[in-house]
Parts: sequence; C-alpha cells; structure tokens
Amino acid sequence: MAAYAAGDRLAFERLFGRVAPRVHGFFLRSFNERSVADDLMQQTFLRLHRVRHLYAVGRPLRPWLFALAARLRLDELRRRQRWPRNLTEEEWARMNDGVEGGQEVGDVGEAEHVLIDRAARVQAALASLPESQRVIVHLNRFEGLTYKEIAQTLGTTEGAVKLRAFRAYAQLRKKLRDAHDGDDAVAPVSVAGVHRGVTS
Amino acid sequence: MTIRHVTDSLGDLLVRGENDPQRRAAVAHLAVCGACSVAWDEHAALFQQLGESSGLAAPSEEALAATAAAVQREGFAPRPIGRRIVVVLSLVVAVLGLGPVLAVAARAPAASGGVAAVLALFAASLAGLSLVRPQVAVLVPGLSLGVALAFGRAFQLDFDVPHSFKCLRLELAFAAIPTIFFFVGQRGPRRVLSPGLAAAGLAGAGALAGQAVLHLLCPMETSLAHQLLFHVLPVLVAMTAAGLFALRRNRRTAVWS
Repeated sequence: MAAYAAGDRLAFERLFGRVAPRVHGFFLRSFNERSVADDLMQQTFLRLHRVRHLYAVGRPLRPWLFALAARLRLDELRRRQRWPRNLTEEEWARMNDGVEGGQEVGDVGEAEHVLIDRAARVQAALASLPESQRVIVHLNRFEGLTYKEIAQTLGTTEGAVKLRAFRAYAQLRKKLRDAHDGDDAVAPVSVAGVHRGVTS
Repeated sequence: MTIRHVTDSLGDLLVRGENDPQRRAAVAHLAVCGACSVAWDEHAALFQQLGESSGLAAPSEEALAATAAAVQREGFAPRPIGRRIVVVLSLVVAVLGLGPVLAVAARAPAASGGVAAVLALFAASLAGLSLVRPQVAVLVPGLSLGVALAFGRAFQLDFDVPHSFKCLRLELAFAAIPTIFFFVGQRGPRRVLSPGLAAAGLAGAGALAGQAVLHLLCPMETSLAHQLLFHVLPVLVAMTAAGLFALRRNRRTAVWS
C-alpha cells in the first residue's frame, strides 16, 4: 500500500488483485446483488485512490479499506431506505436486528432438501441473518477482524459489536442445529479441541 | 479470564493468532472450565462450517477490469495541489511563528496592532494546516506560551478578575468558531485523519486568534500571571475539550481515521 500511495502503478495492480474480491464479497454479503457489489467495489477503490496519500505507512490496511467500504455500505443503506445522512450504524442495527435476511433456512430440513449439502445449508443460514448481523459475521469470520477492529471499521462501539456478534452466532448455531435435527443424512461437523491452536 | 470473557468473545478470540495473549489466556481457561470448553468447541465447529462455505461468487472479470480502469484513468501522480498547500501554509506558519520567538529573544516592545495582525494571520494559517497535517496541533500550546512570555513583563497577581474572565470568554469564543465549522464539516462522508488532533489544532488556532485580538483589547497584557491564566490556559482548555469531543464523537459515529 505504501508503494501504491507513492504512485507505483504495479503496486496498485498487485494490491487490487489481492483485495478487490474481498471488498466485492463484503458488499455481496450485505446486499446479495452482484450489480450493487460491482458498483460499490468500484466506488470503494476510487475513494481509496483519492485518499491514498492519507495512508499512514505501517498501519494495517484491512481495517482502513473496510472502513471506506463500510461508509459506502451505510450510504447505500441510507439511499435505499431514504434515511437522513446522519443515521448511524447503531441506529441501523437497532432497526434491522429483528429483520430476517433475503433467504430463509427454515425449510432446509424438509424432505426435498435432504440432499442439499452442508455448504448450501450454512450459506442459507448466513443469508437469513439480518444485514446488521451478517456484516459482523462477515468481517469477523471471513476477514479475520477482531471485534475492536470491526467497531472501528463500522464506526460503532466494541460492546455493540460483541452483542451483535453474540446474537448472530447464536442464531446461526440454532438454525444449523434445527436444520440438522430435520436431516440425519448429513453428519454434523465435529472439531472438539482442534481449534484451540489453529483457527482459520 | 472468566466464563463471560470467553463465551461473549468467542468470535473475537478465534480470529486472533495463537500467540495472542488474550487467546492464550482463554485457552488456559478452557482447561479448568467445562462450559467454556464446550462453547469454544461449538464455536470452532461453526467457524469451520462457515469457512468451508463462504458462498460468495467472485467478482466478474468485467467488473474487476472496469474498476481497475476507472482507478487508472485518475492517474498515479502524487496530488500536487495538496502538497503545495501544505508547503505554503508551513512556510507562513514558520515565518510568522518567528515573530514571538524573536520578540522573546530581544525583549523588544511591539506595537499591539502589528502583533495582533501577525498573530491573527498566524492563527488562520495554523488552522488551515491543522486540517491537512493535524500533528501541528502539538505546536500550539508552545506558541501561545511564547506569546505570553514575549509580552508579559511582570508576574503581578493583582489583576482585575472580572476583566480577566472576559479575556477567557473571548478566547474560548474564538476557539469555538473554527471548531464548530469543523464538526459541521465532519458530518458527511469526508473526514480528516486524526480528527482528535485536527479538532484540537483548530480550537487552539481559534484561541490564538482570540489571543491576537486581546493584544488590542486587554489592558493587563503586561501581567504575566494574567497572560498565563487567562490567555494561555484557555488555549489548552479549548484544545483538550475539542480533541476529546472529536475522539468521543469519532468513536460513536465515524470510521477508522
């Protein structure tokens, strides 16, 4: 990033190749629309390009990059709901917490879905979370950000992130357990003890 | 480490490196707490399931190419205007900042009007510089003190208290003007880096401008005690208050800075 900020075009290309799919995934997770994710990814990189001289060398890039992306995400949410510009992440979370996501997982255990593989089941459970919780799970599990980094990225408090993460993971566990109870064909994953040393 | 520390932060702990002290403390706690151990394993299983099924389609080649092209159209040259502004403002601040320093060195009497004009211009430049290089805020208290030392002749404690509080109010009012503009400007998506320092710098610059005006208005400016308490202290108070407020506000509503 430091080389890119100094004007190195090749450094930009390397960085772009590495992080663009992640930024795209962040928006896709939030909005479930490829065209919106494409557009917001472009806006994120244009914004990054315009503020690249503000990058503090040695500072981790990911929280900064996702902070830019998170700001665009909030702008898009405001635009969609015609909210005032000063609506904050926390207000959005309060409004959105009880709202289910675009897909429902409740019927996953039904007979016609017995053959759905585990991955699809997990995806459906994830997609059924409210957006305000989905974004936390995405940044935590798929981007490896700590709760503190997520709070900085989204402009909220660590306590609020902890609460949203707790609810999101509890809901995911419940949905996957319910789905498993209705479908004995797929064995649950067991990793007892394995992750005490290694995570992702 | 307690059961709540572990169960409330499983996601946080699991993304930390193996040598992270918090994670190591949590893992040590698992050995003595069955409930946490079960919760940890359940969460690790969930993490593994999630990791195996991220479920997100990669961006299309067209979308990636369009984004890369849009960025490349903007060019990669450093932004000359921003750099030029920083250089010009830095020169102005450096040249004008020499005034109080030289006055201290020479113990020279200065015309109040001239001093006020120099200080006001200095404060305006400092305010501009604070927005692009917030680190200059650390210079403000020293400059304010330099001005006080330059014009305070004796440490007299018998100053007029009601009038002194007028000085304090005037400086704080001057500090408030750029600070309010700053916070209003920060409401949108464009934000400066280090908002705490930038706000402190702006408030300090505003208070310095107030100090400049007081060189025309204050009848007690030769009293060093009065200068320190009612001309320098308001600069520090304004900077601290603005900086803390910006940090608090940033934590609540802003993003990484």
